[in-house]
Amino acid sequence: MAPRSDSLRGESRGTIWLALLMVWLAHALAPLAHAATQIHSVSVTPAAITFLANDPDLAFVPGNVSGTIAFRTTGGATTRTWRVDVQATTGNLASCPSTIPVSRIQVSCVSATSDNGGTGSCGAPFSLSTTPQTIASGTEGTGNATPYTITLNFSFQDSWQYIATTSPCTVSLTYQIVAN
Amino acid sequence: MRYHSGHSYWKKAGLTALASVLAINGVPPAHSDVVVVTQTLQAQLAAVGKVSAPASLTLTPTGTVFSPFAGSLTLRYRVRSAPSGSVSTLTVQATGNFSPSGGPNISNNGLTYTCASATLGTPCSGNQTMSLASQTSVTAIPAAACTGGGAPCSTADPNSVNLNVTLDNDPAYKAGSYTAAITFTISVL
Repeated sequence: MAPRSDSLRGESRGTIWLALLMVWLAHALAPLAHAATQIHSVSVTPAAITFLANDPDLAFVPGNVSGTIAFRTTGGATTRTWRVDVQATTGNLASCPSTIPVSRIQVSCVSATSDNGGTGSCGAPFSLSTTPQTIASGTEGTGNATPYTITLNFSFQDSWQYIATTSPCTVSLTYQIVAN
Repeated sequence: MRYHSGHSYWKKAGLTALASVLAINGVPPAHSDVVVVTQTLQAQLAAVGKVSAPASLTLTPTGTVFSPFAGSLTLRYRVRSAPSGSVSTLTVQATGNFSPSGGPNISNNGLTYTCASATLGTPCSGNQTMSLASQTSVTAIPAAACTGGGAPCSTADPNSVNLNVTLDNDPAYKAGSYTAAITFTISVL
């Protein structure tokens, strides 16, 4: 009976080593097989967008220019996704003689593009709020320095119920770029 | 001599399955990369006002022969003024004398008016004489004024003010129908 017992022990040890080897390999190779995408070269232009509200009878006052968010990814994969969210840091515009909620500002994505096999699509227009809302999303492009560009239009809903300003009312936007 | 028992088989199968499960599920999840950037939006709200008036006002005799002619009109306006600074104004000026000639003459101070019931600002007080040379007050509008919605703005939207216009009736005027142009101006600071 002794040879049979030794054989069993040896076989079990071999199986355990094999199992451990597989676990180690899985962990060791994981970063290569499923490396995280890195976002870099992020830019948001211009630093400030202005609404020149000269006629409260106009339904919407467009911003003086469109906004552009540009970034690049490295290590992306077409099986993974990206998105850009935006939110206001405060519920009302600051430095205003009247209370103007940020919901009076409409955000609309004009275009969202990617490269290297990535895709981009615009979300529906929405009113700005203090909770993150998705502007655009898509699948990641592969390779190094894959570019993404999102163009945004902003408009402000003016009203006769707002006292004129002597200095601009402001609100800060926070864009969150996520690559999964 | 290799000896395969059922016990060994299941042990091997179990360990292999465990390894497979670990290999699949034990892969460390890739972490999302997140970058946050900011941008500023700013709004500049210009001081502005708009006024509208009836296209015409007919002055009719108020009573007996040579009694004055009179008529009333309502001006409607909207305003938003700056939070501080000068008072904004709603004014009127005769921009053309009565025509054809031979009728009333605004230069003779015969065209007057009173103001009442302004829903925003202070209406002119007493009799005002309309002038061909300069604007005269209809309503003085304060700083930090706005139209509609209630405090701090007016409740009324649009705002309004009534003008009661009177024209002297002079026997020197030739009989006939005469027309003059007057212009209302809202100036908001």
